[in-house]
Amino acid sequence: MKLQDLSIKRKLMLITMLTSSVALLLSSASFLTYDLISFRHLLTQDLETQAQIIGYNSAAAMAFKDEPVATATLSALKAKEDIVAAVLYTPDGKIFAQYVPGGKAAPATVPTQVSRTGYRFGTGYFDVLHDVTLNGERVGSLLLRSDMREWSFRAKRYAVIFFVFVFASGFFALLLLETAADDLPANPATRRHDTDGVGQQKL
Amino acid sequence: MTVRRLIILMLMMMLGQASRAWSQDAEASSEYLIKAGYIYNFAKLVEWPTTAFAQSDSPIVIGIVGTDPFGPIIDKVLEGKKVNGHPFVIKRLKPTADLKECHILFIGSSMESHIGDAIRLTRGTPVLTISEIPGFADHGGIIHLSLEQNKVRFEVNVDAAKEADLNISSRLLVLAKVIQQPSDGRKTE
Repeated sequence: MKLQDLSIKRKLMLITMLTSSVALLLSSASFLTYDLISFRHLLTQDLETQAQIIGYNSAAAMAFKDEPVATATLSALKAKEDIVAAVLYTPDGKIFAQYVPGGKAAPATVPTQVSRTGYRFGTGYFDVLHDVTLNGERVGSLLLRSDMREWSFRAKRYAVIFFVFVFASGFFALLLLETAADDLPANPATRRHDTDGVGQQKL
Repeated sequence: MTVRRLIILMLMMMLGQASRAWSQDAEASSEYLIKAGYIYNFAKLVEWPTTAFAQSDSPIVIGIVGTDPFGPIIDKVLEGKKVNGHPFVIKRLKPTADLKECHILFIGSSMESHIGDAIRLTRGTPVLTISEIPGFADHGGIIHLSLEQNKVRFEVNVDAAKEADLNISSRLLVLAKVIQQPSDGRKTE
C-alpha cells in the first residue's frame, strides 16, 4: 500500500506516531548515553581510588624491593571481581610484581613496560596507571585493569529496558490512536458538510 | 722454559686473586648500597618526636660508630635527599662520643663486645639504633639488618622503639620480622 492511498485519518495517525516515536527514541538515547558516560567516569574514579590505596600499601614493599609482600598486597584485589590484572612496575618501568585472578597469566595486552600515568580505554577493558610514592618520592607505578563488567552489565540492562519500553509504549500509543481515530471521519470535508447542514437547520 | 712457565702460573694466580677480591668488593659494595638505601627508607617510615629536631629543617643526623662498612656509599646515597624537609648529615663517631646527638645510630660490627653499652647510652632517647651484629634486636637494639639468602632482611624490636619514643609505620613492620621484648625481658616474635 502506498502512502498516497492512505486516508487522511491514517496519515495523521502515522505522522503523530512517527513524531512521538522519534522524540521518545532521541530523549531515551540521550539519557542512556549521559548515564553510561557518567557511570564510566564513576568507574574510572573508583579504580583510581583503589590504585591509590593499593599504591599506598605497596609503597614500602616497593622501596625495600620486597616482591612477596608486594604480590600479597596486590592479592587483596581478589575481592574486586572486575579487576583482571594488577601490576607493579619499578621506577624505570619494568614489572616488579603482578596479580592475576586465579593465578592465570597476565593478559597479553598488559604492558611489560610503562612510562606515563593516567588511564586508557581498550576493547573490553580500561587501565589506570598510578604513581606509587613513599614520602613524596616515586618508588614505582601501579597498573590496575578492570574488565568493565559493571559497565557492560548496566549497558545490556539498559538496552533491554529501552527496547521493551519503546515497543510497549509504541503498542499502547497505536492502540489509543486507533480508538481515537474511530471517532474521526475518514474525510474531514464530509464532517464539515454535515456541520454546515446542522447549522442551516438551526437557522 | 720452566722459569717462564712458573712466571705465567704466578701471573695467572695473581690475576685470579685480584678478580676474586674485586668481585668480593663489588658484592660488598652492592650489599652496602642496598643497606644505605634501607637506612634512607627507614628514615621515611619512622616518626621522631617533634622535640628531636630544633627546627623544621634541622638535619637528620646519622651517626656511624665502630667499623664503617659503608665507606663513601652512604654519603652518595643520601646526598641531596630530604625526609619531611630534613636533610641528612652523616657523622663517623668515636665510641666515646655523645651518641644521643644522633637520630639514627649505626653500630658497626667492631662494637660487638660493647653492644650493651651503646644500647644503654641511647636508651630512652629518640635514637633509631641499627646494627648488623647478630642478636642486636634481642639485646634491646631497634633494627637488626641481616643477609638471608642473598637478600637484606631486618628485624624490628617494637618495644625498644616505643621506649625511644619512635613511631614506626605499620607499613615498615609488615616487611620486618617483629620482635617484642617486654620490660621483664621475655622475648616474643
